[in-house]
Amino acid sequence: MTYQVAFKSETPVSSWDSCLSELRQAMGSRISTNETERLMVGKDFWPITGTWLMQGKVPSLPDVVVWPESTEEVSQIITIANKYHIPVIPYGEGSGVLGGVVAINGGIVVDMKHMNHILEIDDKSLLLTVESGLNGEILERKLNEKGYTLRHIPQSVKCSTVGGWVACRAAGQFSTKYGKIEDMLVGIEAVLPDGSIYKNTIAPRTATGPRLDQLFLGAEGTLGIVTKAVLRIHPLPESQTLRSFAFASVDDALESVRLIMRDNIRPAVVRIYDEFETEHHFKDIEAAYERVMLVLVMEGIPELVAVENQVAERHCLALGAVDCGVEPVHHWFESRFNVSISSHLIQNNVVCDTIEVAGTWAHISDIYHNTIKAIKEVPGTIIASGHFSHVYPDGACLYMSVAGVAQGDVNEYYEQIWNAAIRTTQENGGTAAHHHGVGLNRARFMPREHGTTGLKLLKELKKAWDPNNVMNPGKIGLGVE
Amino acid sequence: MDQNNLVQLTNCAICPNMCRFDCPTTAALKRETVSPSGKARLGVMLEKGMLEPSAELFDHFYQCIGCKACDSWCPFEGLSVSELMNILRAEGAAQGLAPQPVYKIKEDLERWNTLFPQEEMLTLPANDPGPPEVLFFAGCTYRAKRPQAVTAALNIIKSAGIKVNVIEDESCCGFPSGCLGLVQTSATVARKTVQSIMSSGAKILVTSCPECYSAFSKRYPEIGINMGLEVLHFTQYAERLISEGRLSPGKVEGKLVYHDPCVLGRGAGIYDEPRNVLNKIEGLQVCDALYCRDKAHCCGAGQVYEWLQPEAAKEIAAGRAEELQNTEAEAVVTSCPFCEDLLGRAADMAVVDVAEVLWASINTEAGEDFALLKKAQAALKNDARLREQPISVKVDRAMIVLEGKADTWELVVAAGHLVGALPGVYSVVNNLDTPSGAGRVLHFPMVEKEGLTVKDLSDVAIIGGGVVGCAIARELSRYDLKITVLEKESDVSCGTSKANNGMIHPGIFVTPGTLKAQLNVKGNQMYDQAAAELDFPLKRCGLLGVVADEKEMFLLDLIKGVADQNGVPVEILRTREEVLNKEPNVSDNVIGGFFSPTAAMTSPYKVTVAYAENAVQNGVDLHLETTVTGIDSENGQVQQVITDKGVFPARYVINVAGLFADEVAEMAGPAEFTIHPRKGELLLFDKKYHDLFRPCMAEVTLKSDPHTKGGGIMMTIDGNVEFGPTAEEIPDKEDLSTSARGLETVLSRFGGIVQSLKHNSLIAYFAGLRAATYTEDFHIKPSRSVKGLINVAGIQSPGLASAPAIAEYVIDILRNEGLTLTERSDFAPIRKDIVHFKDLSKEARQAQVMKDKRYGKIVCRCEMVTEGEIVEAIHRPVPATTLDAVKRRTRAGMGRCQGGFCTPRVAHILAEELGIPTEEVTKDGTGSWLFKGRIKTGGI
Repeated sequence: MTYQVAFKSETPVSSWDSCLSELRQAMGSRISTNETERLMVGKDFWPITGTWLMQGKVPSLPDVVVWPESTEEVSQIITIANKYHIPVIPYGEGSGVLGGVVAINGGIVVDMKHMNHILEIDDKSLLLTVESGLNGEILERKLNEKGYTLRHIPQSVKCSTVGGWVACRAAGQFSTKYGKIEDMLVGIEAVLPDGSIYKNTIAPRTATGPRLDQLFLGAEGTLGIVTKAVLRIHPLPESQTLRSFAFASVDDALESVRLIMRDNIRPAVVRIYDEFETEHHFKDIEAAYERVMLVLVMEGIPELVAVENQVAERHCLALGAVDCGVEPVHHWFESRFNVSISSHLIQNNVVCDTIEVAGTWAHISDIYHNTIKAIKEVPGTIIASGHFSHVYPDGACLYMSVAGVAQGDVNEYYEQIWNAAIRTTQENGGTAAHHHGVGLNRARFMPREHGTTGLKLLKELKKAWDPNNVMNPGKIGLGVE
Repeated sequence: MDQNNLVQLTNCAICPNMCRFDCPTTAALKRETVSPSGKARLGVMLEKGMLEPSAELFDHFYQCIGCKACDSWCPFEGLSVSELMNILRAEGAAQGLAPQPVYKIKEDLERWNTLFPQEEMLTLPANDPGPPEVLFFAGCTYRAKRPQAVTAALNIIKSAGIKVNVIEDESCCGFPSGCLGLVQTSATVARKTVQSIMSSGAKILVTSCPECYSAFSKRYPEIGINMGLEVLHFTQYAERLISEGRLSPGKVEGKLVYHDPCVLGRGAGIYDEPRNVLNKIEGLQVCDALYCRDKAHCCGAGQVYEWLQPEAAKEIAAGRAEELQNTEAEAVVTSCPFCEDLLGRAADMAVVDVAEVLWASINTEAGEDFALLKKAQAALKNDARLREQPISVKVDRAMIVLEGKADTWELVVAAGHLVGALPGVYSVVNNLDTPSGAGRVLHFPMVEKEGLTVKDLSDVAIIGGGVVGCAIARELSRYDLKITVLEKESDVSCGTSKANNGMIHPGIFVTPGTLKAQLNVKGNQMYDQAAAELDFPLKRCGLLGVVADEKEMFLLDLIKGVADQNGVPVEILRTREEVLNKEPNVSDNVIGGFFSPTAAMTSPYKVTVAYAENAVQNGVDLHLETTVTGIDSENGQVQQVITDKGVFPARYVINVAGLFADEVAEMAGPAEFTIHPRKGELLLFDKKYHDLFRPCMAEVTLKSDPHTKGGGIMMTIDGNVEFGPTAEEIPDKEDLSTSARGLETVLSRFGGIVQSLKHNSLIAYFAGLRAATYTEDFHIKPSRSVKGLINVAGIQSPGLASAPAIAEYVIDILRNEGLTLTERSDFAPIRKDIVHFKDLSKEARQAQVMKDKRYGKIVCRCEMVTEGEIVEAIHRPVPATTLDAVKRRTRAGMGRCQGGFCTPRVAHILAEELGIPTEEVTKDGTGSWLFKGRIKTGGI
């Protein structure tokens, strides 16, 4: 081997051969121990691992990859793994950015891509039943062909799966109107760590105790593998209005948006770019020079859109915003999936990442100003900027972009910028993550996030649920002492 | 890999795979390693020395079809995953680490300079003298997979009055090998191609193939080759000719969906030109699939991917086919031989080339083919049983070719009939498969020509010694020709000619205007003279059709109408009384009918033997037990017939091989028709009913199968009541089985016409097979691809009645095809049958016994056949050398006891006369031995 492996399994498995032979029997040809197959599912798109690649290092090398075609096969796989106490890591399309799929203890990667079928569209209830391995863009296209939309459009929609969205509590660009994945999820089918299959009753709401299906939201594969999801869908919107306004400051923009939300107006897309990002994205828009851009997309039936447009405009103009027309919105639509910059930065020895946090209206301004300041103070930092991409009646998500050149060890620098970002957010009353999840990288912030009691409870829950700790061990902070 | 490419590869490797959703190989194979960014990451790891080169690693780089769908989503300027893969492939191929098929393609290219061997490719037409205005480059894949598109494109250019040349020994453009990493091979073939192009003297180079176009317009200049001429894709050139007013598209009715070939669309930016050309065709609507132009999905065949990953390629093709089918279009039109080939196999609708459609709008015949194609598809789509079957249709000069699959044999036949019934169809080639494998089986494996005796040159070789083959031989023997008949069985009349009801049909059940009708009516009229000359039995007993249902009386008027159109007399019987006047012994429910006086009965095998014997008398060479296994031709002209008994050179070959006529025709060239066997079961009763009725009888009803006259009851020429034949479509050309259930069916179906017959008087129950084509007409035509080969096929009922007329018709064809026919002065038209002792007067019998006392020994008691007759049959010009052959000539063994008594006696006589041990006597040729061995000594 002529590459380094960042996370190597330290627990040798004595009965590996019999486990493998049982897996082979269950999977037929849909199993591989080829090095290349294992390497490619031993990683996700955790940006620091891009830097590692340049250094000849890979995150992990799991032991085997399997490609199940049914929930029953997933159950067989987990049953075998549980028998031999071998870690199981579910894998969709590996677009996570926090190392959530890195096989830190080796094990079996369950690549869900064969389970990619749309099983049912209930037009009357507007519910979709879909297998968890289906790619987001393919799903959205197929729904669009039939006149529907899920409107869950994360930046990763073209390279992520339904199962991945549920696993990391994803949020899409249109979330302000249509909700985040937890608002869309009505039910799941999942295989538990002992191989048993769980399904909840599909109903618009239930008051039958805590909802077990919701435990899988954000569990990142630590509680089992979600094989199917029932999701709320919508008819394709009839009309769409695009607006953009330039504000004198981030705080003015935030205040306008707060008031829009307070009036119960729900634009589908709300995005506030700070001065730096406004200049970066909208340098051709003269009215936006040295200002803060707000992009709004209102959609739905024309009558509703007209009202939303009117109210939104009133609040923006009241705070002195300049109407910048549709051009900035078009620009956003065109460039919203372009993440090419990180490839350029990483190849030029620049450490970069995006960090999303959230806070209430009461705290969000402080979180923004103090966190950006804290990151900038880390020596080597070149860029620290932010935009607010998901808003709520009670607060907003702050999405920060960070880039810098490590003065010493890159991993150390990387740790420092993350510490600066998350600790400052937490100190200012915010949450450590809005929609990317925890994975490996945010694990260290979980004691503060959940509190000692909370984390202890989570760990005990996991232990009761998965006594042999086979399901994606070490993730979401459960490995933190 | 150089630094720039490595940067691009790394850009891709670090990107979160934002294009993966549109990557066809990723969707098909569902592995991280083959996703665009996954491949790039593996590439980076290889280039950085993190991974050792291995076949397993390089295999991932070959999981790319070069469709460039990922490129269209790529945010990195100038990044092309497929181009980067090609660079990696070149590294792998040079180290021997490419997938195995790559090296096979390399070998092929080095051997042939093309992807396909010469014999699989269209031979390009010779250039007219003089300098060309344009050079047309056909491309090896077009020539192999879509030759009609090459012909169409050339025709179009020529029709614009443009001098167009081709390269006679066209080699590959180098594109496929370049994509596979075969850098040297690609350069070698490309060099040859460049030389041919540059020496052509043309100013414009036109090609229909996107791969060739891409090579000429992009790759060659990239590596510094400037050929000094303008390179145009065919659609660009056609658009220019139209805009310059040099080409005027005509009219084609229809709605087509245009599929953008990846290499032409995303690869070369040619989206509008094909659409513009198609939109100039009057009456044609061109639509787009949901994903089209730069968003079009690949067909799966790019960069010869099917040769590397056939299953994945087919899966990708099925996905694209579905998208194209989800439009209102009747057919797919595109402009790439790879797309046309793979999509053509994957789609339920036809896939045609832009040039073909354009040519169809200009040329009447091509236009008719296109119209027929759409009619055939519409017919299949409108048929509830066939709608969901994956059947594809091709039309070539009105010949319909069906490819694909159908769930059952019934559906295979139904599809054939459906398209065969369309007006204007030349023939149907039905290549449909069934999941169970029921269908066509090749019966004649090729034999090694080495070591076979080469016989003398025949003017005409006739393949098949049935009634038609023998009639042709006899009629041709009037002329000064060397004629050879090749028959695989041990006697003539062993196939369809032996197991039919012996009726000489009058010509009232054949559709007016068909060849069948023409030859049936004429053949019927010729029988009296033939019987007189050749001494076979013939009885003009007439045909009585009866109606038992008031609601079906109107059918009589239809019959009258057909009879009038065919010029055949028929008498309509409006009442039961009129029927009774014709035949008193009809059953009680009969209320009317018709009488056709010209219907006759004969013995089909006696007719055949008579023709054969007279032919042999007149010098025809008859080779029995001689199986044809091949037909050689040279430059499109038939040369010789290969058999297991030697090579028979011949100037003309007449294929009268009955059930096997399609297989024999395909030995010479591409299929031009398909034979499907239709089984008929027949029942024979004891002669005790010989005076029960006189005419042949049939029930006139709507219920019968449209492709048979439905059978009836006959009094055979020998006095046995005969029921049948039934009609059942079966897959196996050698299935002559009968069953108890079938017997019940026959009895119940025909038992109602006359007053009941005792079933214990049933003496034989057997089956024969009709050699039907899907047009259900005779296929008597010169081969379209091999000169000198005349196919005489699809001779089903009324083939016996038509045989004399068919012979004349074939002779006319031979004359038209250039055979000189000089009448012989010594032609002997008269042939005498063997003595039939039973039919002689007492005095004549006496005299016969006096002449040869063996005529005094009765061998077959049921039919009163003497030893003298049997001995005579064994020594005739066409000798009877088997039990069945003796039976056919003498009736020994055909009586009530069905040979129970006389079989050993006849065998003994055969042994004695042929000078062979009795154990070697057979029923009907090699393999059908009668005796296992002796159990005790002594004679019979």
